[in-house]
Amino acid sequence: MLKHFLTLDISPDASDKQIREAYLHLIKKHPPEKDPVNFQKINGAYEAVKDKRSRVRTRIFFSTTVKDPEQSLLELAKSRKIRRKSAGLNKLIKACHAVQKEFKGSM
Amino acid sequence: MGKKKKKKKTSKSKPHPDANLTVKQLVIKGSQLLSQGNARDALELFKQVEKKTGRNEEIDSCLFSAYLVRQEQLFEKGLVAESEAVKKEVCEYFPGIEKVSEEQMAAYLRCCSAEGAFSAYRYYISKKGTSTLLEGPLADLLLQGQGWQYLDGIDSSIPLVRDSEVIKKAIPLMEKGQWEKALEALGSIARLSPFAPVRMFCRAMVAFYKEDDKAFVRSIAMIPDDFFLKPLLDALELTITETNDEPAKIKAFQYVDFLYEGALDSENKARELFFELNHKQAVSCANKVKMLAKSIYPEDVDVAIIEILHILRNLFFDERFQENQFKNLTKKVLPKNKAELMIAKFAFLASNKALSHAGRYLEVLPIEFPDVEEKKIAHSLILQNTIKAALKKNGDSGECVFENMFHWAGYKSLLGVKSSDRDMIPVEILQESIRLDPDNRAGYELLSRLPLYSRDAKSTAEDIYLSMMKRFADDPYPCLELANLYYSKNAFRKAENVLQIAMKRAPHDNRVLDRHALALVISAEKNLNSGRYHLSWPDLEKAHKLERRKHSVLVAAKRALHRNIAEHESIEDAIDKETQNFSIGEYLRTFGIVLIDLEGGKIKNNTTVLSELRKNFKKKVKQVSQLSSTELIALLTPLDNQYTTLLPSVSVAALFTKYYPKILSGLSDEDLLTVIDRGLEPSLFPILSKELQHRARKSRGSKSLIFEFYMAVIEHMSGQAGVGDRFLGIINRASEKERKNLEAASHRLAFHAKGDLRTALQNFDFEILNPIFPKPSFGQLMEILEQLNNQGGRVDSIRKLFEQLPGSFDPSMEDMIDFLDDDEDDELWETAEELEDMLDESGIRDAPESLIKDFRNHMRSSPKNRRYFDDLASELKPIADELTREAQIFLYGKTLA
Repeated sequence: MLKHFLTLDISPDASDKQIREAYLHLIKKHPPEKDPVNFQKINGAYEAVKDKRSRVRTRIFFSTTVKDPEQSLLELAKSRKIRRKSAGLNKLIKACHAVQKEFKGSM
Repeated sequence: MGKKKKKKKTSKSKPHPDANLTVKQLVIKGSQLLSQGNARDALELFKQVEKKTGRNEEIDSCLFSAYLVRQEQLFEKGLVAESEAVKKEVCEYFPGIEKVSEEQMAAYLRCCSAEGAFSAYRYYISKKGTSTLLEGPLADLLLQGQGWQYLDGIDSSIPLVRDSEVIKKAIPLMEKGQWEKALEALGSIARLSPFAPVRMFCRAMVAFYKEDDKAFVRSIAMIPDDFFLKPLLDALELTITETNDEPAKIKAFQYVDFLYEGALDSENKARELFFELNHKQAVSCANKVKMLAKSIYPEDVDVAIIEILHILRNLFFDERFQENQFKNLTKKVLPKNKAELMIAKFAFLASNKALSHAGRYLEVLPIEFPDVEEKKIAHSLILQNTIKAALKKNGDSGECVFENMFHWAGYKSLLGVKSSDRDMIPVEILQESIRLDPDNRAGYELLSRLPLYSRDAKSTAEDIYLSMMKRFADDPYPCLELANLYYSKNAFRKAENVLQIAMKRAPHDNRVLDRHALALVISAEKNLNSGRYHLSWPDLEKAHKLERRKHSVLVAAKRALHRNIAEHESIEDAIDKETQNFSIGEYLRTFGIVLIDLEGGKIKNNTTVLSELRKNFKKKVKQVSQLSSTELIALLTPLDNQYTTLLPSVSVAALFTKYYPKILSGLSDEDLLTVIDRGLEPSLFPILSKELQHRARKSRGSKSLIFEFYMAVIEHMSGQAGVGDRFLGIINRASEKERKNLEAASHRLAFHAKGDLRTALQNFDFEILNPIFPKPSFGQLMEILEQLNNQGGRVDSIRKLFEQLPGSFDPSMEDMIDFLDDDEDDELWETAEELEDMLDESGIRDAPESLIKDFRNHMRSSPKNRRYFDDLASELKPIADELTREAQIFLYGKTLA
């Protein structure tokens, strides 16, 4: 269940409207003809949580849909989006010194 | 006496290989080594020269070059402190701008302090003019906040000074991380400016933040390697590109993780968890579970833990793990109430004891669904799932089997169960499910799969369909189901009325049209039976005009009958007229239906007609030899169940095999089994047995086994004893693949079986047909009764009787005893339960009425027992309607309507 929300990049307590908006935004980004794999994931996630009844059903019966636990666990691990952040120049300079000293030193 | 002088030990070291070289030779060799990149050895040689000659321009120049290379090498290796130390030597041995190349000068400036660098450049400009290459290191210093005060002495027209003003404005934006604005501010920086790498750097950071990796890679390709922030960019590039060097990538992430938000190492943690699960006790993986959960969803770790447990749950069905390992792990990773919830939920999802585990899960449901609306939906779904599981357990044969009531009695109110009538239990559960979530269609649709034997069950179902009709005002489905229900109750008028509503709601719906056609035939049948031929024919006409393929054969048969009865047309002519465009199979099936109808007594006292018809049918039926095996399946498949109100029997196979026993030989081996799967009934047992025997003899291998299996099923259903071993023998001879086929056949055949055989076929476990402790036979029960009577005691408790039955100890007995000790229960119901349990143990459940009557007669064979059971019957009269069919026949000799 959490995996579906992470796939749609929304909080588990998102409303129906927020879920739908997130879904539409993502399928525009990953249309089926260009990115069929992600499109299917997004679609599956949406169907699982699109309304109250779907969410309740998924929450109760989720474990019965797991066929390969190892694969499912890895998918869950990957579902959390890794976002990129900005940082200031000074932090970058400090990090650069560390990279030079420790990273390159260990290579 | 004087002190002895210690002799100095003279070192016997080997002479240095270069010791005999001349200064010139040393310089040459050192220069060669330096050109090969061996700065360390070159330095050694140059140092020797310096020692010999002291400092001069030449040796200073050599040492400077060597220290410069050495400094760079140490820096590249990450030996920053060592590199810094060598920088001092570089500055010390600087031979002057005339003696160094432009590249060396640039490298020298990187080794200098800010003041030294700017001073050196000022001097350089005075001697040689400006140099973009040399301005690069100075630009780097300015970006790091160093040397701004030394710009004053330099000509403002040179790019370094000219562009520094732009940089000054951009630096605060860069320090805030506003790379896009900084890039905009640096718009005027030219490609040849010493600050061009800074602009490229800003562009790279913008691309990185926007996840435009191609642009990022393009930008950093345009940044020179000696740009002071290049190492960071290299590490960052490693994190976004595909690489085989996973350790380097993971390490790179560690240094730039402040540029990322999210689960950077979750995949590794997931793999580690799996490794631990495979190699250690589950409970010791608790920490790994928590760590993984935290990395995936730190906002609410319990939510992530619950998700992980859901995924891992199925792993614990593996033989490697014990059931309690999962429970222990759950208790270790979650707070108490959530752990209890998870344990209850998984027991519900996995269990055969659907009601007790459903009840337990419902008890703790508020923990999972604190929202009232969601809880209602969840509660409804759980109840529906319980019914589905009970139906599935019985091979979708339309019967709900639940475990012993004593296990779930405490959860009755949560399950919505009010009565103790077994027939009502699934209906009440479903009713409760629908009450909780009336907008969910699935609940109503499930109702059509439930067995509805008792009046109360049918009445409740009627209420549910009526409520569905109100709620789903455009849907014909509830009307159709209600019509089916009314037909089963012989409430024809009500059925017709509700079908009218269906037709208004969906006049073109196929289901509605099919049902309408059937309704017209039913109506026509009533009128035909009452002699109102003028009313019956118009209905049959309408049914015919609807052209419903599904009912075409029935309509034709009924029309033919009408012609015969009402218009005195010859029955064969009437059939021929109605089947003009039919195939041979359809024609024969129509004929068959007519014959079934007439043999059921449609035309009274007309044996001549019937006899003629039979003769003709016997002739016509030989046409089956023209039919293919597939067409024969269609011919022999039982008629629609909905025809039970219209025909004495829906089985046509019995009719065809009676009049043409060779018909089965036209079926292929697979199709023969299909025909049996579709309709296995006692009247076919002899002919099927014979045919299967014949085929088993002719065939080999898998086919022979499957035929034997079907034969064994038929033999058991025919009442032959000792068949359990036969099943086991067949299965033991089967290969893996053959076993799977046998198992599939077993599940299909379960639909037709009853009692122990059904259970055995459903579970593909035939040991139960040969129990170690056989169920008491009727004779044994009689012996025990007589024994008790001879001891002078009256048999005043069925419980005592039950306890003395050999091999009848069952764990549920303890529950029964506990239940019986429960003060709250009514004595009458206690007695009824005792009786029902005894009947369970006796093995007469689902037995034919005649067998139950035999059992009854056995039990009542002595006058004392007759009196006892008569008293019992009288005692239970107030609740007789609530007793099971077997109990009613046993006590009263018949079922009570």
